[in-house]
Amino acid sequence: MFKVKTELTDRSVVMAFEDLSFKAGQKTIVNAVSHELKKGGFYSIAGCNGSGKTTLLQTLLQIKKASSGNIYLPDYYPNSAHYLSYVPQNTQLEFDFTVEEVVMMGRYPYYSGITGPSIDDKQKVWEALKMTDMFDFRNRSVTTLSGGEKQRTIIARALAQDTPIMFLDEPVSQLDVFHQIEVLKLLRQIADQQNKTIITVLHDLNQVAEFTDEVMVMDEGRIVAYGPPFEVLSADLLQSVFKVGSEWICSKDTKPHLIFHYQDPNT
Amino acid sequence: MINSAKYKWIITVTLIALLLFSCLALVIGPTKVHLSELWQYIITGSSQEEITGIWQVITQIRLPRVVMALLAGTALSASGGAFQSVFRNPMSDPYVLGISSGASVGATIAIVLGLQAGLFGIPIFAFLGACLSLVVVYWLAFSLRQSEQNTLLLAGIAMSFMLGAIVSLLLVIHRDQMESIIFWTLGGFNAISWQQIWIVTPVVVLSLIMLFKYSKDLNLLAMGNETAHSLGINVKKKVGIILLISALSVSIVVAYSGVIGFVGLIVPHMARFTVGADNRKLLPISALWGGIFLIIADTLARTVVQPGELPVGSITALFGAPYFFFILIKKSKRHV
Repeated sequence: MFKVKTELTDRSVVMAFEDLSFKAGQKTIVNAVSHELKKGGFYSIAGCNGSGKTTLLQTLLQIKKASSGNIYLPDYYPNSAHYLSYVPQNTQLEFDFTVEEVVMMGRYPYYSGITGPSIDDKQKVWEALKMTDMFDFRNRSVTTLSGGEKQRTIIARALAQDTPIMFLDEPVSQLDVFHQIEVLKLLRQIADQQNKTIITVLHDLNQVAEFTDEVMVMDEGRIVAYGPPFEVLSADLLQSVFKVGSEWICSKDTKPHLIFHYQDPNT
Repeated sequence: MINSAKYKWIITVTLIALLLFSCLALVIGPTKVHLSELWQYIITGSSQEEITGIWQVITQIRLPRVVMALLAGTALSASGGAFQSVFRNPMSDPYVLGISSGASVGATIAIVLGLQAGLFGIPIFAFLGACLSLVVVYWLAFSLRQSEQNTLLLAGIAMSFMLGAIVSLLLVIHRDQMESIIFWTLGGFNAISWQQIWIVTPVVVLSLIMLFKYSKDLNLLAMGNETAHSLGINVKKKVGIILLISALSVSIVVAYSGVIGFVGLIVPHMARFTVGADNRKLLPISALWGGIFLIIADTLARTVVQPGELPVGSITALFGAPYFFFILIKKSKRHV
């Protein structure tokens, strides 16, 4: 039995879930996962392809209805579009919307079709465009953008939505290195300065370690480990989950970073 | 894509064009009418016999055609635009859910049974055929427990093929009725009366109001179900409502004017090319342009081969397709 309960009274927790499962037919995609998301926390979800990361995000967003378990939201929980925003892995951009029109969609939950957007709505859209380096593209049709520009437009839309929690599914997978780092720095800044909670699926474990406060490692639908990345991403865990050898390398000037052994280190 | 000042200008020009082409459609035809005579009648209410006759032609024959062409054009184009957003497929037209083939089967049955006469002859059969097809497509899609629009689209296509085969079969069995069946299938406004207008108007106007109301939701649905959901849309419910209201208005239009192809597919594209993809701007322009397009097409249909009449559907495709090619070429150049 799945239930959404609006009974979180601890103001430092923005969302929690308990024994949450999602089944597709006979197959369990997300298997009895539980966790608590703190206000202003930057969380990452890592795991192999098919480990249930996207399904977990979509179950938390209630795009997919969980088979069982509970989602806890605060007792002041408003309209979900005012509380949770989402950057999907693939957004369809088939039609000739301009970049600004797409980002303005993030403000749709805040104004009616009759009144139109307020000055505040327009300001939030322009801020989001500037933050994602898309301001100069605002009048361009989204169908003419590169993959990375499209992705930044979608991130700008989620920023304009201005919600306490942001879910992002592989937000940097289509970006060049420069923009990958820019976007992750921006998300870090949003978590720190605006006290928003960010939950993102990331594949690059060095980015997980560099930017996020806590990582949830998923394997076959379960959260097999969670906590600060430097503690969680041990060589043993990476070997058991990703089937690759790894080690942390430390140098004087930089934070520790992971290197992977593409061949079995024992051979 | 365009600012509101430019949009207002486009709307104004469109409304002037609508008025102009409607007046032209009223005065062009086998019975010669001079605008001055028409004006004189309106001003003086003259009872001269000749003018009264002309007035009868205008108000009882041509005006209902113009109004029906306007209603059909607005309904088909606005629904076409909405369907394209909902299915996120620029190839969608108002008939994707099997409405046209359902209506064709209904009309064909009415014709072969000899029940085509009267206000409720062919139209009621065509309307029931369209609705029945729609119900079966919905039932098939939702019994598969799929909320994805693709299932609806595929069910609609399968239904169209099946019903198309039934029409072909009936055509072969009843060859003597072939001409009237084919002529109905190609669509037209040749026997439109005010009574029919009063039946069609409320459905079309209400569905247009509803579609305009849902234009923000249509924008979000065009971005994908996940995005629409995260921005507060109950996707399954909204898709169901939008498709149902569009489909009902298309069904009633098809019932009285036959299957007029092409307009619901290309007019939204033309409008999108001019005002962009935002449905709040796109749907009103689409609807008005669709109306103008069919008024022009109907005027041509009844004047090109006098005293005969061509099916409106053939005119829309014949003149619409080259213009559509032109738009596509222009658009691809703009993107380069």
